Amino acid sequence: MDDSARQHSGERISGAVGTPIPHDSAHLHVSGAALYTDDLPEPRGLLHAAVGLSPVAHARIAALDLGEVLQAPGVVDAMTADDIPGKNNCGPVVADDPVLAPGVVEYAGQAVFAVAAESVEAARKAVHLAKVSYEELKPIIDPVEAVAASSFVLPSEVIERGDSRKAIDAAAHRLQGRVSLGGQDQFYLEGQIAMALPREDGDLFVYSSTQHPGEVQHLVAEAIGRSSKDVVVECRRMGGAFGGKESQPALIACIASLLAHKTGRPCKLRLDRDVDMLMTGKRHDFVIDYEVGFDDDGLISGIRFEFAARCGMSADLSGAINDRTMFHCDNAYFLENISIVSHRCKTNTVSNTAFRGFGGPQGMFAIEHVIDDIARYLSRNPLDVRKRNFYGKTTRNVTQYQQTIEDNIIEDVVTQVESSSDYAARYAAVRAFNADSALLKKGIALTPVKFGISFTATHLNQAGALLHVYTDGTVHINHGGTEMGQGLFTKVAQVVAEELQIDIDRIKITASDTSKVPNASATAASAGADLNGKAAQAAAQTVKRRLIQFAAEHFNVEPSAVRFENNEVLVGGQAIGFAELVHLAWFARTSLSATGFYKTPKINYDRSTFSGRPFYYYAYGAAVSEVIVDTLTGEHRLLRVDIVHDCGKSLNPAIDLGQIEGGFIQGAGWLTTEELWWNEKGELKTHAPSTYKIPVCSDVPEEFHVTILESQANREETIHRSKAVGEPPLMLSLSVFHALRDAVASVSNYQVLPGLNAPATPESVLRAIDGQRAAG
Amino acid sequence: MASYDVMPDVGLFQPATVDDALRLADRFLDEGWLLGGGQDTYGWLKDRAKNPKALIDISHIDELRGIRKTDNGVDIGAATTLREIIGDASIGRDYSLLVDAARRVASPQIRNVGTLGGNLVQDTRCWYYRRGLACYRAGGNICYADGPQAMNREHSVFGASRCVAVSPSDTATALVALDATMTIRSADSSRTLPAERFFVGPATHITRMTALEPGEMLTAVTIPPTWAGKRFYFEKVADRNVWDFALVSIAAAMSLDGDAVADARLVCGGVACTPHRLKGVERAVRGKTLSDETADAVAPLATKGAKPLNYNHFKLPLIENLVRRALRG
Repeated sequence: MDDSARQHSGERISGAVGTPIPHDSAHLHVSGAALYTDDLPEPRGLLHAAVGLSPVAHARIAALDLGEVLQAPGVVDAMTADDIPGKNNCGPVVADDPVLAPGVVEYAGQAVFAVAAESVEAARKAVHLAKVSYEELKPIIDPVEAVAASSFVLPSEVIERGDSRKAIDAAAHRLQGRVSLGGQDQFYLEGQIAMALPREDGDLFVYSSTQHPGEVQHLVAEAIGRSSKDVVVECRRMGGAFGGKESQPALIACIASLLAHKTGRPCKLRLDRDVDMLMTGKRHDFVIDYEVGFDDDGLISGIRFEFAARCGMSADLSGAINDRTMFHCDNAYFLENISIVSHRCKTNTVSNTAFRGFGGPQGMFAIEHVIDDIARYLSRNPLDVRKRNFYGKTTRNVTQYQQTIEDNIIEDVVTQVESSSDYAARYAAVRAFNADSALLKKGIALTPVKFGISFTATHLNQAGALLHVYTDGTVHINHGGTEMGQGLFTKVAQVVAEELQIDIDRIKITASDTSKVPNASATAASAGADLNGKAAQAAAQTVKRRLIQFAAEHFNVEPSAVRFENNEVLVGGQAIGFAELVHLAWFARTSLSATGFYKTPKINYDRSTFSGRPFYYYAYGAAVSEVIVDTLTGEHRLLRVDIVHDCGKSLNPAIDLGQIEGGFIQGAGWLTTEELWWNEKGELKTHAPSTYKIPVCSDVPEEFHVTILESQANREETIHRSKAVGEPPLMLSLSVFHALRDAVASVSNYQVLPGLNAPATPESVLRAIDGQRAAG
Repeated sequence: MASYDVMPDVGLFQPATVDDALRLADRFLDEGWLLGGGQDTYGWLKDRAKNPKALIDISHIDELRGIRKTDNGVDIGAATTLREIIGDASIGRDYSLLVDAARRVASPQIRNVGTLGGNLVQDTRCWYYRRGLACYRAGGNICYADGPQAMNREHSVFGASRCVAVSPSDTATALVALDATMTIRSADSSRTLPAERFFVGPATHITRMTALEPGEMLTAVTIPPTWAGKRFYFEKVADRNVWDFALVSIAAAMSLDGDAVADARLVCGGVACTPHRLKGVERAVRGKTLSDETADAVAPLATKGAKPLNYNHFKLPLIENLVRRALRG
């Protein structure tokens, strides 16, 4: 027996599945010792890149003269679209996203040319010496304008079930409205960055801050006119990503790689915050039209939605994002007769992209808004109307895309938070407070979340892993997922520790690397742990099977008599240390390295008809938020939040709690303080934290009660019956927006529907309050 | 290696006495930069929008730190941190207006190192100017913020002259309301100015926010006993509850005679290039009882003469509403 086994004898391994261990890099994060791409030692001869951006939203490039740029001190080289040896494209799905503008610019902030210099300062200064003349073309900026002009990046899509027109016309009550919903910048702390190193014979090694190393690899290879085998991409960790590093890093990596390829020297491109915000995509902003028919109880009989999303100048991931909007505009409600039209508007703005929730939040915003309007119109408690429309467990349980919901626990979740938050009493208390308070008004709201888990593109639901066991009994684990602070690597290591029954500190977590696990999907759709956890488990199981086989033969017992337990392997009645067994197995020439693979079962969905089972399962949650609004200034504060959120059987409750809290606050920022503001010429004017305001510590409510609904094992056979947790909690923040609506509505004594758009900045809340007074 | 978004090569002097600091200031004049807590400074330097040759760090000069009660009120050294002011019992008792204002500056971390002097002399937040564009304030001949496409929701509604930038200081409004006096020294002289005249608008000097000449230093602020323990009101409206600049703020000092207002000074921040006194309101409220009726009657006077830009009309109701709240009974 080795020491470690003795030490732990009779106890559980450390870092087992379900234990709330800290993030594997927490000590590095807080001490500043975690290496992000910009912290890596810089190779000899490193060049620094800077990008020349288009100042105009739509124009033909009439002339482009980089003469002075090339003469500037420290500048080594520069390039335009004409200098790209391979494909001038970094689009993830459709090849409509040029790396450098090919003669026409389609948004203000688009990369037109790139410079490589001996220092960051020299490169960034030289950019301003370019002489570019633009023949301006008419831009289309907002989605309404785009719909009128039939300007789309992809065809509009429709889902219909039943006869919504007839149902609305026959309904006792009808409402219609339009609401606009702002976008959101991902605002990862670590900005976009890539460093490309030429290797021999034209090969490239690229460090990229990316959720999708495989895609960066493929697109870089195509851009430099080589193949995937010639490019390796690595990412140990990102300092936040939130979807903003799903497709966007390809652009950054392509520019760095093209300059490295051209000059034969290593090249790093790190965007500063302003450039990052101008140049890279964000959450889609929407204009949503709705029409709804309902009965005296608020039961919806028919509903029609028309979504117009600002996709920007290219398709990027807008197809799947808007599909997800269509799949989530039911949220937790059965909408029997429904018509959904989804426009993917082409505008001369930055191409919008993935952001935590991936179109889902906008769809859920729409239905929650409609339900809130119905309740206010009927003078009902909005929670009653919500409950009235919930999906059933055995009837009223088929979504508008024909998936039968088999795991519905929404009523349990809502009941739990309703009781733990004391919603009913506080709903009454808020009204009593408002009756006596002239200037300060409170509001409260409970909103549910039902979020579908899986990539809607079925083929992406696959993952690979690579696992080595060394002769000292330690383990190297690699998988296709990426670490962005969310704790994926920790969770996967826990899965491996559990499978091999060894302490987690015997497992080395390693950087995502396209040469270890190929063709991996992006770490996205909340599916990182679901997919990569299973793939890593499969790899561990393969090695474990070989060890069992070996032990059975070596000790002459039945394989069923070999058991792994707490750093030991029990063989018949005898215990042997894990390391000891591994060493024996190696000596007997047993392979101690394996790959693992996983594909999500059961899913199957036909995009041409928008029907089938796009989601393996659903994650549920519910939140109650209470706010107070100052009617003289529009300022507001979040007083108390109660959340119950479903994590299945949590792999790591500490990490999941962090995801729930962080997701909620990030969502609250989206719906309150974060405002992307374009002027009429299509220039984004809020492109730094000075004008674009994300939530800070003090915006976290003083009373913040988060409960993980942990006993509820996932009814599907996910990794240790856990549930995905990355995106779903973001949408719990809809309760904040509706609490604000509730507070605003109190100004007219709940007689007038509050005309509040998102984000509900103090300025827009004050405008909505004025609207209440004017109409009241 | 030089890098555009880290600090540039710049000389650093750390004098131990005010005299030494002033000699350095005199030597470098326009090319010197007095460094307090550094909270406004470092952004300018990282962006290369300002390129001083030398930083003169005055944050460790003992003479410039601390709060002293005198016969003429209270003296506060310019390098006293905002945190020290917030924690000072006598200021809290007599001049809570300043504490309330200081408490709303930025974030706890910034208040821990940010100084009163730095908060008062900090430059405007106009995004165009801070990006290093050659606008009027930067010596050029255009205002980028005052155009039809410009983003100007944070900008001025009063007192613009070519430039439409606003004063960002929270403590400035409080000190004007308290009628403080600024002590200004240079290598060979010393002078004082009332706070109200310390801040200058673009019509007076378009490239400066204060009356400080090159080589001069704000060394101390004196709050007179006039308003000690009177009725105060401070409020700041911002897009975010903390760590944000004022869209509009108000600092009010009022002395009461029975129920009636004997005298009042009301000052708005975030609406003009200097702390903006609401003299019309001050006159109208004298002799009146503080009440909702008085507040409603005089509030509209606060925005008389306001000239909003394209996107900052929302500041007008905010100004009036803050006056209302300051004057409610």
